Amino acid sequence: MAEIIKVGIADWKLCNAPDTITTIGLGSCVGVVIYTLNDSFCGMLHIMLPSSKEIKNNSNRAKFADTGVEDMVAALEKKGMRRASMKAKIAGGAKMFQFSGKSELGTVGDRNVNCVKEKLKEYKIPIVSEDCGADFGRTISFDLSTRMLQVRCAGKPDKQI
Amino acid sequence: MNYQDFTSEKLDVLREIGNIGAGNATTSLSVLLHNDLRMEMPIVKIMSFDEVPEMVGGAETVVAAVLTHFTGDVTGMILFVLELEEAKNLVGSMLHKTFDEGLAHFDDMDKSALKEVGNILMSSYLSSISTLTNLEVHTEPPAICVDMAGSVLDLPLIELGQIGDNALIIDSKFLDKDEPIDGFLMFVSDEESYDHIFKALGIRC
Repeated sequence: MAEIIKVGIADWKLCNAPDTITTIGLGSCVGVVIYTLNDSFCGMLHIMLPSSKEIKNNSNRAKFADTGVEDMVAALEKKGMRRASMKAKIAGGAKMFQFSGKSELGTVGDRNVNCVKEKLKEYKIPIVSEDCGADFGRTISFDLSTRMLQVRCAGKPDKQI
Repeated sequence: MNYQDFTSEKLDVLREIGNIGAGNATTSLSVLLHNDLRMEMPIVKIMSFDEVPEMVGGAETVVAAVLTHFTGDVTGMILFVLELEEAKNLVGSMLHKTFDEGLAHFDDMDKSALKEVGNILMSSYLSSISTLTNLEVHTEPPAICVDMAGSVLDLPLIELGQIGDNALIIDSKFLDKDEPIDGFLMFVSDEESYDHIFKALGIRC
């Protein structure tokens, strides 16, 4: 019986086929799926903040783009996934509130996306598809049988990327 | 910071501030809506990030949220979060209109009305903190967002995420003719601000 694995906020999990893996309600946060074309498992990460180096309280490594990607890639490699075959799909990083005043927080979505992309580039993991930015939330789920990432938004048709 | 370290005395203070703030807010809102709004005693809760969206029925529940930043002696952000159906009822009774089932497409006027309700509630809340403590609190213009609870709430959680892994929620329930309005106020601040509040009220840290 296939199960649906839920990844919480500031967390990552691995998933074995035929299970699917999902994370709900990405706003400024970014969801990252790492998979290969051959392996029957993948990982999904839900980060909140760009760099662990900018923050004092950084004990939860899954909260950050840099350390989150590091840890999940390490776990995937430990399970036998080859770095050179890894591919990524990413979604999220929206700007949910449009403030009229100055607010650095409004840009956290963009910074999250950029930091994820930098880290993936450093690891030479190509981004196959992405659905980032704009002003709406996303729920994503990854199906290992099709290797497609489903993006669901409130009041909009579903997307497969 | 760790809210778990807050003594019950400190939590009582926050609850009392919530009570006074929400009380003032309810009065303002009653006048605006021309009806008899009442409130329940607020509940102060400390919860992990994942639990917060559960307060409105889960991360995928569509909510309307009004968010304001504040600065001064006390800095942080405050949110008024309302379940979609409640938001429709509220806007409907303010602007004398009805909405279809499902996801409402709020126009600018509707959003503006909701923003104003949020603004009144949050300003009343913040001004009661300011009055009680004699501390300066300046509010910035609010912004509104209607979307999945998880995605709406991640901005305050991101703000909190820079200082810890828990959120302090001051859950103020409002009653409209004995019918509960499913909404809550969420107050997000940092350690220094809480120190200022507690010190101003003579509570040892």
